[in-house]
Amino acid sequence: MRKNIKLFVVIFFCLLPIYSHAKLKVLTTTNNLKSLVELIAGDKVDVESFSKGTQDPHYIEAKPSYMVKASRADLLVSIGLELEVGWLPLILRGSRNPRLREGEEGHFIAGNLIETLEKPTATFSRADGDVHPEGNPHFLLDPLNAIKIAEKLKFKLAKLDPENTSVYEKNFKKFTSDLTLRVKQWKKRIKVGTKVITYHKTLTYFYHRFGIINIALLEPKPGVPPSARHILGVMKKAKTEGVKLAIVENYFDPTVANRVAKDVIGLKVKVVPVSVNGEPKILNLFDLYESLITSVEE
Amino acid sequence: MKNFYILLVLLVSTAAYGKKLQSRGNSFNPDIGINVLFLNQDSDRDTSEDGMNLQEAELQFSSDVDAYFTAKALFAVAKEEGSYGFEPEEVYVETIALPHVTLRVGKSKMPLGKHNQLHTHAFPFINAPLANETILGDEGLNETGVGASALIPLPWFSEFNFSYTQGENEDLFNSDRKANKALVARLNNLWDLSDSMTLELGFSGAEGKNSDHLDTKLFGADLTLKWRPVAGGKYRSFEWASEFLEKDREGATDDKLSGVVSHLKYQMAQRWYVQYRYDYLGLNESKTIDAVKRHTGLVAFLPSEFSGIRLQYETIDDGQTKDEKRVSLQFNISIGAHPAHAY
Repeated sequence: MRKNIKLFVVIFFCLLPIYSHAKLKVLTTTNNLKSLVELIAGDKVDVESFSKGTQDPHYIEAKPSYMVKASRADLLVSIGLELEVGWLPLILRGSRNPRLREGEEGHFIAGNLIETLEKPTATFSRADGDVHPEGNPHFLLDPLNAIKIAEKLKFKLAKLDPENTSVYEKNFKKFTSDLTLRVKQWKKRIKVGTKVITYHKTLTYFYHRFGIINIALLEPKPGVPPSARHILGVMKKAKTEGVKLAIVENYFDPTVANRVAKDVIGLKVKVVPVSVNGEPKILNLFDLYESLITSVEE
Repeated sequence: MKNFYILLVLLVSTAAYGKKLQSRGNSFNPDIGINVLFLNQDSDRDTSEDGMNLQEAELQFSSDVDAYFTAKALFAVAKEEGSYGFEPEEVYVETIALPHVTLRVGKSKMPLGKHNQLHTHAFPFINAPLANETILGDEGLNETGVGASALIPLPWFSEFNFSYTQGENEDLFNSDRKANKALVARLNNLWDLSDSMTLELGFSGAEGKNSDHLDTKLFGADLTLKWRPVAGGKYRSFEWASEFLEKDREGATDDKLSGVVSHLKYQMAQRWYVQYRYDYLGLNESKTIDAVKRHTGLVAFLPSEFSGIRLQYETIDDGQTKDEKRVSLQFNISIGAHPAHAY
């Protein structure tokens, strides 16, 4: 009996490496990153995202089941810029998978490759709300940033899975040319200088790319729920600037925006998904950008 | 006057320079966080802890040691018999470079049940469950030793945790023969019932020699159901957690004691929670302690992740003719680096 157990243990540990050499297992922190991995890697990797499309990626719970997934992953793709600071460290610790630690080969941090917007220049404290010291982390909503990251991601995938290098290369080329073409078309549909108000600073990069001007935010400070006084100020601004559109990211409550719209004549509220799978019909980044453009165009 | 201005400019510029250098050097300093709990309590029977108090201040330092280890030190400042004491609550080192397993050396809260692993500021209610307070003591089961934990390769989350400790808990272990050690083990499982719901089931046990050179055995079981919808999860969530704890201490004060606690927690808005808890201590008939039943209600308002105001009302039935009633109001804040709470 003793011998049998020993034999079993030996076989088990011999099988482990075989099991782990199947398809590359990729985990991403957001669905937008997941879509990017899918567009570059196609069916050559298994990819899964921690956050779902309707969840605020700042506040994901570090579910132990995520640790199990991380323990078996070859590559983790994250946003960085402290977006996941409240939950990802716990998952990594629980996974007991040192390959995925920050700075190791199995952890790709997209935020490190981006010139961020809204990087605070003056000193700040928690009294300013959830400020990201390294800049706004929602950079994937600018399609051109997606291309920038895809290029580096392609190299990372090729390094971990050299056999499929040509596939990643081919997919990347197609992704780049398709997206560049679409961006040109999308630019024609948006009138530069279109004015909007938004709930949170999620769409900064999107607005920046397409020349949309954000007049006011419904949140007085990042992560701080709207106060009555702040809302009055937003109403006043919306009226004087003649804003016609209020955008609410779909993980926030639209009640406040509807309240503003009651008072500001001609203001329309649109609840928009800001992530792939944020709505069932949004299956990839192309669908997401298309839906955002549709929401803003007149 | 001119000299004064020159001096001022110099001072300001060196200050700015100093700050820049400091911020670069900071990456090697430990992350520092402080949690402070202020408490006002009012009881109609036991008034010894009534009035306004600094319930506890926790100072937390954490940092990676090198490429192989990470360390955490947490000190608690709290009132003990009228004066403030400064005590190490947890000081330990963990491995970060080993695959499949985490090894731990130091003093830490033992994984005996779920509640025992929480710091005071993370308690779901203002005070600990009766079973934890009575069986494990005010400080809980907190031991110095070595431990190992690993994920069991199963389709669901299943974690095994084993600790080999000195066993210094005054009532439970505390053998004067230093060769006697206390062992603590826990098996914890979690299943995703859906993207919004999880079920957690844990079993814990501990064993060691007590001051009468006889065995003390502890057993714990816990069941937690959590729900947070994938859409709208910022504004609504629900939790039902139950825990059973039992001690069997042989010796002069031969005593078997067990208790159960169960609580409900409902998030009704982004920053508002209502909670209810039921405690029953003395499921078996203890020789030394009368059965105690307690109902607790709590309303919490959390302005942000870093501050909270909680109002709690308890009725305690310990067999006397009239139940004890207690109202507590707690204000807690967290400054500096604050590591995320476990799920």
